[in-house]
Amino acid sequence: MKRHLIDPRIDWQQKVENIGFGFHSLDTTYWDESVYYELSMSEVDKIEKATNDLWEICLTAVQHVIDEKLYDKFFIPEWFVPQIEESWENDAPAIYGRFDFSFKNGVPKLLEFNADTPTSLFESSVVQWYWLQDQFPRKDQFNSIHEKLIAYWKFLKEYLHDYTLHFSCVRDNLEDFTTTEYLRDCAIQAGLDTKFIYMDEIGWDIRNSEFLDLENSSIKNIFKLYPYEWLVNEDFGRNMTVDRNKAFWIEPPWKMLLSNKAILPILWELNPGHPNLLETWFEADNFKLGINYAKKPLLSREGQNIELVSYGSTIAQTTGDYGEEGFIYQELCTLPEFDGKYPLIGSWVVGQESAGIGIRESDTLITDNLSRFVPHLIS
Amino acid sequence: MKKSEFIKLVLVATVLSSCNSQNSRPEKNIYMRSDTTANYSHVHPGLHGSYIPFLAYGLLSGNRYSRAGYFSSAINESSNIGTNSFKGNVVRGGFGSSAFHVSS
Repeated sequence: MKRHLIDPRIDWQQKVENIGFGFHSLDTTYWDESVYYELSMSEVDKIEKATNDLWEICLTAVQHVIDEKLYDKFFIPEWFVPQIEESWENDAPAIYGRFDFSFKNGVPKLLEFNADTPTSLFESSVVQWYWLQDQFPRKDQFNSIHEKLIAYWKFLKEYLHDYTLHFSCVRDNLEDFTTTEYLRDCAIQAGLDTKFIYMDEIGWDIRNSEFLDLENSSIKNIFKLYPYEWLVNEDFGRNMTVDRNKAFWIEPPWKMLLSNKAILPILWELNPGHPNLLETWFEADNFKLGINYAKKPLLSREGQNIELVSYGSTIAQTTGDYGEEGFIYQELCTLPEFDGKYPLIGSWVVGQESAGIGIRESDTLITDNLSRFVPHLIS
Repeated sequence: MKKSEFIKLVLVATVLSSCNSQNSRPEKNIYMRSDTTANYSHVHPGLHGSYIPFLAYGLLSGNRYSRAGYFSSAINESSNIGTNSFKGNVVRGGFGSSAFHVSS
């Protein structure tokens, strides 16, 4: 893996805006095409294999959590457990996820799995693909996300209720809206009938016990870019248990287990020594590797409330609103450093298989909301 | 070859290329209602920027659409419904209060 500097395309802002990428520069630069990473095919193959292998063991881990009723370790309310189990038993439709890797010495190590509401999808799938067409049209890129999304929506079509597929996210956030509308774009190309509705516009019909859109049409299939840990704590959350349509929520409730960092110690317990896993425990006391670890809240987002400890000293720490739900302790595996920058590999699973990567680069060891998305190519 | 052969967008480019991400705060003292049977109430500050969307609200039955009024999640539930019985069976705004964006 190599890091290269490169002149950005002339009028790059206009170019990315023309394809619908409006949040390239928010408070700071987010899309940074003054840099790109080069990976060898051998490195790409390793990331692809790790992604496919980890997806398999994640599914086994979900079965284990359900069999052993380990929900208390996940801070999941008891009343929502039947939703998780039912969605798992019924093989409810799921579309995507993103493994975050530290990639050093040719070995991807799993830091966490964004299995419920991963973002940076549009950048990974579309924006860096167009960058490659302009800058290195003959080069390859580890990125077949777009065609795999369309193919998998086509596959899922027969498993959905024979009805419109709604897409929803929070209001007033262009990043979330873009991710959601991009997934909807792929679903349209797959031949699905779709509608968009903001989360706060979703209605609940008290008399008929069903979710409704703004035209009072039933919601029977819905993709939501909205985490389950929020959903179950809001007024409408419990309505999911009495919904007469048993709407398919995508991602399905069982993904709540994989998006929670409590899955990491369970993955380690079930697969000790796995080359792509880091030793992880629920308690620091059980940490057998010594005093180098990352302390992470079960539910943190954007790198909040993370502490990295090396030889007993804190080497990096972030603040935030998480931690009340509990922590896990993960073997310290810092990100590789290139010219004082730290790239994190986000490796996408679409349907059941590895589909490509996006790279976010930070100035610090913890990838947070100030990280920049940088494109890549295969040498 | 590891990359998509061809990328076509049928929705995103047209919908999003005209968007911008600038939010400005609404005036603090705005009172609105979306139904004449409802009382006015204070607009939730900060949630929607200066743009306050009102959406047509109705019932689609077969090919026939019956309009029942308007709804805006920027204003209080009571000011959306009033005594309108058609609207009154449906509660909105039960999702979406936890945070402003999802990024992960």
